[in-house]
Amino acid sequence: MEITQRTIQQAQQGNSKAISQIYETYLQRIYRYVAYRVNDERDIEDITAEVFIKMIEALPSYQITGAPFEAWLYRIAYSRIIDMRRKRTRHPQEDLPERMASEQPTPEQNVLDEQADHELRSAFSSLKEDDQNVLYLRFVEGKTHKEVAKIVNKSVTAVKATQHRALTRLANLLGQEKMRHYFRGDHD
Amino acid sequence: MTKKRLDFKQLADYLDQKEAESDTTEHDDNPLVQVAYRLQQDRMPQLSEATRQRIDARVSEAIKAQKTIRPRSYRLPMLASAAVLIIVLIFVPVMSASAVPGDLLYGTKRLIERAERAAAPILNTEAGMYLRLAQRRADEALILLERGTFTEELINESLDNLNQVTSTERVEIGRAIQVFTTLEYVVETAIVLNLNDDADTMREVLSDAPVNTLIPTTPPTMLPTLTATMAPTTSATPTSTPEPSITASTTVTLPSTVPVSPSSDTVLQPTERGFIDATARVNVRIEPRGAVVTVVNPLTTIEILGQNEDGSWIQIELPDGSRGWIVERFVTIGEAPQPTPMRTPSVGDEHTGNSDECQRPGANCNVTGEPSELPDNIPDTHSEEQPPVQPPANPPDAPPANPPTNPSDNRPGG
Repeated sequence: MEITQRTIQQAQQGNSKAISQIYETYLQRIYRYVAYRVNDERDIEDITAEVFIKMIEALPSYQITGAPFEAWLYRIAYSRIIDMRRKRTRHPQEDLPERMASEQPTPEQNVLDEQADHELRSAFSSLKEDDQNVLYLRFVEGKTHKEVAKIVNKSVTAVKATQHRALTRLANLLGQEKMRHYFRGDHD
Repeated sequence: MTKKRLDFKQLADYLDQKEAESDTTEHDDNPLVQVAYRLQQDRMPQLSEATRQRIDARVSEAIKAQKTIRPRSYRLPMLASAAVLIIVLIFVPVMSASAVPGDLLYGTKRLIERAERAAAPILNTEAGMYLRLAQRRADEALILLERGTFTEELINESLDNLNQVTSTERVEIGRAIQVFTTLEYVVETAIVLNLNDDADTMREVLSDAPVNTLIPTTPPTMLPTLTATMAPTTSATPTSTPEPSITASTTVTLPSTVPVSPSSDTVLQPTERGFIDATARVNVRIEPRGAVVTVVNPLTTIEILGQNEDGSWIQIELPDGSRGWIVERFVTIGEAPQPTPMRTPSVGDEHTGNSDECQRPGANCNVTGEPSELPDNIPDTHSEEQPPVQPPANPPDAPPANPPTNPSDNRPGG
């Protein structure tokens, strides 16, 4: 569900019902976005709450331009994540989220899958921020190239190029041997 | 399924195609597609209920706090309103000053004038205010005249304001007369151009204007000069034809020092009576081509005292005893005819053009409505003294009082 312009305008005028509606609509998405890129549960919670608090403060000056409202929220979340990383010099691979294990219990036979997830997140976290952004929105959130372009405020072509570069880098990190064959053009 | 190397566009198209076909990329040989598939299959982080409640609580507080903060969007309209108000208060009065009836800002101009009227008694500036209003109405009438329309109401309102001026102290006589002459110019020109349907009424209104009482009848600087230069001349005409032989339509032709021939049709007596033969007021000057000291109404009875060397100027004495020089062609010997199509002159109706501007020696300033406005009786033989009538579009050459071409440029005190 998306938010209408009218709801946004009401929220800008301080209508708490409209603000709540926006919050309900985007809470899960913003939480996932943050959680996919930040490992610490407390950081995820703080950043998610801060995104909406910042949204409430800045709503009166928000200008409706036709771009999706969530793009603005993603940008707030993105800048908060960057801020948090600047403050903390923690290595991204240090602690992968335990919540993944606790909130979604792994079947007994999924130990290998869990390892694979760990490997994937680890590699993903080592990508550039812009690359992470595009890959997350494209494949985790399942957005089209055009939607991603609007959210990250780039052209569709730039998104496609970023996508290619990021997938190549990720593939390299996940299976370097295979990728060497691929880039040499070897065929089975 | 592809294992071939894809560039970024091919990869994007390939992934789009797979998504459109809901085709799984799990077994695709392309490693990039495989990585994309892994990302798609990655488990999404889930928001726990406890975490959600904590976030809800923090956001709810922020929503409550937001209610006490005035939205920033209100500040811009307030600033814009303040800017508009400043513009209105500063620029509109300036811009509306030159507005005339029919203009967009004329209503604003009148509104501002109401405020001036209300404030004048408090500020003790009533005289100046009435004079200013009179001048504005006269200027507006002049502008409208240039546009080819005549508005009687403006004339009447200007005269009403002039009337108020006379009842106050500290009157600026020169300015009042200037306003009056502007009104005369407008009325007479409107008559010439057939813009004024009720010419006689307007002339009567002007002749009855209380501004006449402002005009001094005897300029103090005139008499000594006239006495010194003209007395011998007037005594040099001992003979003349009997007075009954002089007709009212005969124009004086006077030699300056030679006695008038008895055989002449027109004989000058030492103190011959005559009258002003013009359709509007005529300047009386301190000496031939000298400064204007007063004006005299048409048909005013005068005493002829003498003339200059070439006979083009006549020295006269007015009914009030003042003396001066007048162009010869405006003087006719004899009694003034009755009745008159023009406004009837009366005692004390001589208007003195002693405005500051016209007091300057050699100033080419015709103080009041004089024959220059009326082409019928003004041959262009003394253009320096009596310029011919001009169309209203170019008034500075024509009007007797030099009414400003653009009154707004010349308006005192706004």
